[in-house]
Amino acid sequence: MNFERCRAIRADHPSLAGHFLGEPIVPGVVILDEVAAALAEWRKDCQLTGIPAVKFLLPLKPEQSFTISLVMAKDAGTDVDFHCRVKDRMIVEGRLQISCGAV
Amino acid sequence: MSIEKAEIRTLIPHAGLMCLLDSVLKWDDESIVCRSETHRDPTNPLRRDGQLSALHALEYSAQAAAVHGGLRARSAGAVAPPCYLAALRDAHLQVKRLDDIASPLEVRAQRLFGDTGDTVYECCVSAGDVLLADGRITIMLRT
Repeated sequence: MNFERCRAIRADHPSLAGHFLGEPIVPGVVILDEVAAALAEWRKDCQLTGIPAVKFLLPLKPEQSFTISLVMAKDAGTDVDFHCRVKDRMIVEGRLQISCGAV
Repeated sequence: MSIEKAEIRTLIPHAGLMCLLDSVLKWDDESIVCRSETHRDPTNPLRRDGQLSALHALEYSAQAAAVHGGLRARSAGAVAPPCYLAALRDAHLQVKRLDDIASPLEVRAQRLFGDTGDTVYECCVSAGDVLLADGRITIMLRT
């Protein structure tokens, strides 16, 4: 069971003007916010409670479309593994901890 | 004697509203304690649909680590090289959002290992005596 969403961070995202001057790079937390939004869409009754691990492998530029993939972790209860790809290049990978049920 | 925002801006590349920390309360070679009230600012550039997710506590943490790197470099007569947030480990979010936290945020970062460039920090963000988020972050040189 997995879930995929394609996203891009628009060039007018308010974080980009200051991150960084003349050299806009999407902040890692903005990518994670998109991953969290995809998670909320997939598992509506679940809440993000932790991030056991994330690696930011390559920078993401404004307007660059990327694919978020979420899959239930095989070995870790309710954890969710995710990765983000630009075409076939991995840019972010990691694991999310979620709490499901009465949110 | 605390370090205020204008000086923080000289230490890190984050500009405009993306410079999230308001002041440095204290620091030494191993750690830093910063304060911020920008989590309640409606113009905070990390808000999404008007809300500031708790995961952005990790960006506050990364900026505290960056300011620490800037201060350490400056005290050695140098300028910190450009770095980026490379990894997160064992982060826990105790709340869903930060924008409804009434008190100022206190952002602590403790350097666990590494020197200029590749460095690991243990961080925690709290308000009053309440822990909001914690985790370890890895800062690496931007090449």
